[in-house]
Amino acid sequence: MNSDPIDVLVIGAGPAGMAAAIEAKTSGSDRVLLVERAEEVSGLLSQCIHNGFGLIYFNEDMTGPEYGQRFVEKLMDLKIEVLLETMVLRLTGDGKVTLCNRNGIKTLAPKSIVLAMGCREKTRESIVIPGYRPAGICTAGTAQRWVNIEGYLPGREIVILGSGDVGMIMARRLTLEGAKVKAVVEMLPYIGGLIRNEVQCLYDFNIPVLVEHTIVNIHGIQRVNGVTIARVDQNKNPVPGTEKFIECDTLLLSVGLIPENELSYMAGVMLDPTTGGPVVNERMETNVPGIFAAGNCVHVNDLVDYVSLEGEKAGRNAAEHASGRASPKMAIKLEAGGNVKYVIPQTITGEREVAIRLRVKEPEKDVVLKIGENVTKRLKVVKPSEMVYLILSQKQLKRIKNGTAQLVVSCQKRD
Amino acid sequence: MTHPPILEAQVVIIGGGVTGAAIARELSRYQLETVLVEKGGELCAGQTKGSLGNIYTGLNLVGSMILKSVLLPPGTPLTELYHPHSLHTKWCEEGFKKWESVLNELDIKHRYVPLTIIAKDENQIKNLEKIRDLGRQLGGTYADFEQIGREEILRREPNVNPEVMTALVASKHVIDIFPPEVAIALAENAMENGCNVLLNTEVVGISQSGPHQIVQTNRGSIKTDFILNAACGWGDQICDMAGGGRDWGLQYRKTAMIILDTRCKGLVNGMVRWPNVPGRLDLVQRREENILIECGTYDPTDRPDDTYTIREDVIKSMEVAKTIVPSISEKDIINTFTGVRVFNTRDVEDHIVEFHPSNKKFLNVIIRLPGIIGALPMARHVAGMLEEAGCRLIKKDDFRPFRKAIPRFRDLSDEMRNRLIGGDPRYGHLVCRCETVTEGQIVEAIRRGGMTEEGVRMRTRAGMGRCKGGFCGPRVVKILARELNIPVTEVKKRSLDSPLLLCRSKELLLRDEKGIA
Repeated sequence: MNSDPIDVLVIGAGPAGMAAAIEAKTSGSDRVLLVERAEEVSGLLSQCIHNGFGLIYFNEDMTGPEYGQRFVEKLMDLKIEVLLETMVLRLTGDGKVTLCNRNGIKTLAPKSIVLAMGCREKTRESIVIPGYRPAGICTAGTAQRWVNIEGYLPGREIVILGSGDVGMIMARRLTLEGAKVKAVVEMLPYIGGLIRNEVQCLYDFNIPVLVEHTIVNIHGIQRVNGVTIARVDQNKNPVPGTEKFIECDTLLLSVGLIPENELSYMAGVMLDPTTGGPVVNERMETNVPGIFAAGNCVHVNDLVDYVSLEGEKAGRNAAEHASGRASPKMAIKLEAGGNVKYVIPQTITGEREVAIRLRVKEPEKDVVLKIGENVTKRLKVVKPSEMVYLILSQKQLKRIKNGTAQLVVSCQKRD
Repeated sequence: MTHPPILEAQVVIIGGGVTGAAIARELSRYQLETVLVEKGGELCAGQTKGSLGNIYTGLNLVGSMILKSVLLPPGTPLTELYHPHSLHTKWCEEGFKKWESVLNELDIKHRYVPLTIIAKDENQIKNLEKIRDLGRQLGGTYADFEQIGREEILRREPNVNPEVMTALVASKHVIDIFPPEVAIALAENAMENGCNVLLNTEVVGISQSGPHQIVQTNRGSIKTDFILNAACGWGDQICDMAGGGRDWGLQYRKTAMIILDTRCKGLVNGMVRWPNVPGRLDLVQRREENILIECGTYDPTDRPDDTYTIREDVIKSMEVAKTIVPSISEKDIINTFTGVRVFNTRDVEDHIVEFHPSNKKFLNVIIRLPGIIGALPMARHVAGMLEEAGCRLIKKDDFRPFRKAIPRFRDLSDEMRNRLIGGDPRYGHLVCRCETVTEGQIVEAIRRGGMTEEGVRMRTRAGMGRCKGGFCGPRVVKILARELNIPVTEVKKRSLDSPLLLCRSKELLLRDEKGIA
């Protein structure tokens, strides 16, 4: 590794990190360093061999590896330095990054940092499913790695708890592999992931879906041999007497994703309790000057295309910060209001066009999205599983009064 | 069973928990052929694994006496809880003092932590006073504590319930350890000194053959002079294989335990608990880099392997934990598990360490909890009993008491880490990010006998963190397959019947094509 000062160091070479590194380089940073703990770049894209990627970013329907490859090629064209199988052991509030790989441990002091660590899956333990602790319980994403990258099946007869996108995609994938997916069990009254996955992965393959159900028992001491499911009431409590045994050898979990922010936490980056990710401004900058963040470590996105866009924005602004330009003052706070779970970014300047991303709490039809009092947009349908993405134009921003400190964002049924 | 003996030994130890491992190490000081058999796929597969596992004495032992008095007839006066001459009491008192040097010899990670028994309402204060008074009455180490008020409590443990009124603090009497590490370290050192450890080896019968005994297992037979029954929860079944006449049974109690994310490690500095009452314990403690919660009752169960975790127990436990440390949150749960405690029915307050009524070369070593604290004097005592029964104990000249732990990469300075990586670059390859575990450690764990996912986990902590192996799981399994030179589908979670992956991709489709299904 050469010893020139690093302008932008990007942590994580998934879609957010790759886009950030590329954009930082093309925005004029001389030295960009991309650090990845896994054996290769692309992050989870390599194991997402299904299609549906790139519809927004490339206006093409691509598989995960194809989508990732576009970025990999750019990384190579731009000769961006990539360190693989390299873990960031420490990140401090003064911007020092300690790396570890087979060559040893090294501490660097880049001018800017982009956090792009992605997210991890919730586990059986974190949601406290009762029972023994046999082999055969696996998160959907880990199962995806086993099947698509390593070439092994976690089981033959499978029950999936949770209807997140990865869970539904694995239901189809395992069916195509000859395994029997006996049920997808969802606690909520509706499917957790995208509609297209609900149709293309579950209905098209006649996979039984049980909404308003949960798993109340895992059977088997050494290896799973079945699960007991039960209906849940409005408070999500199992209804006694509705239990049903399903024989299976494997339980897959698709029960939610958690932004990965151990490094952010270490560096004193302020985290939003709702998203689990850093509080960011419209430049994707955190409260720690010079530390930017993008992608699923900020909030769990529904489509990779948005992750790439966020990565680009973080990369561009990280490069700008590295070149010494001062950060603008962030004056206006975006507050989650009626039926809005969270809004990204949490603060804006109100001076330039900005993309707002949000998630709603409850599904609703015929709604009005309101940003403050003067900016409104009508939407036909909103669902918690699908992000609402909206560009706030300069023209719309002009309608916001000078001196506004806070804008409430709501997404409620039209009166 | 007509298997030819696969091994010949002078002593066979049945059970690879802390009891079996401590005896194995003790006997490895002598010129003896010793074989330890464990039915699980890994050492400490039973009670040791699910143990709260601190090494303690003094005030905590007083609390423990009160807690376990639930097993005594109702109304047993407090003064009768202390039996100075029981093996249990003797070994606990002696054992605590013995551990320090052995923890160092075996390079076992440990830390002295303060015990703080807090009370806020009248009832709790009354219970706290019972512990205090009993401690003072017993004197010595038991009386070595101080009573402090609210302000001082909050200065020492700033995150505890601000409504606390008073607390008893004993600062030198609890050693935080990780129970499986203790059992594994003892066993490793025993092996280093010549003891043979056989995993996945279940005893199915015991018979006599002239002056010898034959221990029949699922993998063949072992011819031996002496048999030590350290099978804890399964000790009754093993005992019966050697003949009838047993005048004791076993009873089991279970409690759920919760582990919180390392992020929360600063919530308490040591062990903080409400005063023990019979049958109920409520504590939040620092366990290495995590927080361990055990708030619950000693619920009877009829099986030693009933490690089934009940959701309601966890929910209730969390509610109580929040009364101790209000900022505890469900969001931080990274693991829950259930421990089963074993007591004998003849004398719930003591161990059973005696020869079989109809077999004078079969020694029952049925240890009730706390099993770790007294393990060293227990092992010494067992060796003495063997000698008395005619087993010749000749000291080895070359006994090596020291064991080096697998490097704990997470705990090392960068300078030490670089030195390690310089010697073996695999120590620079991080496999488990949550617990900062490297490939070098995993390979070393496998070399030392961790041949399953759980074996690697207990030796290195890989997969023990917040993502529960979501990232490192497949990588650990592949390293296991590579190092053991076995197919990936042969890698087990723990025992032989716990495969992690059932087949290759496309295998099911190919079978369908061939019409085998």
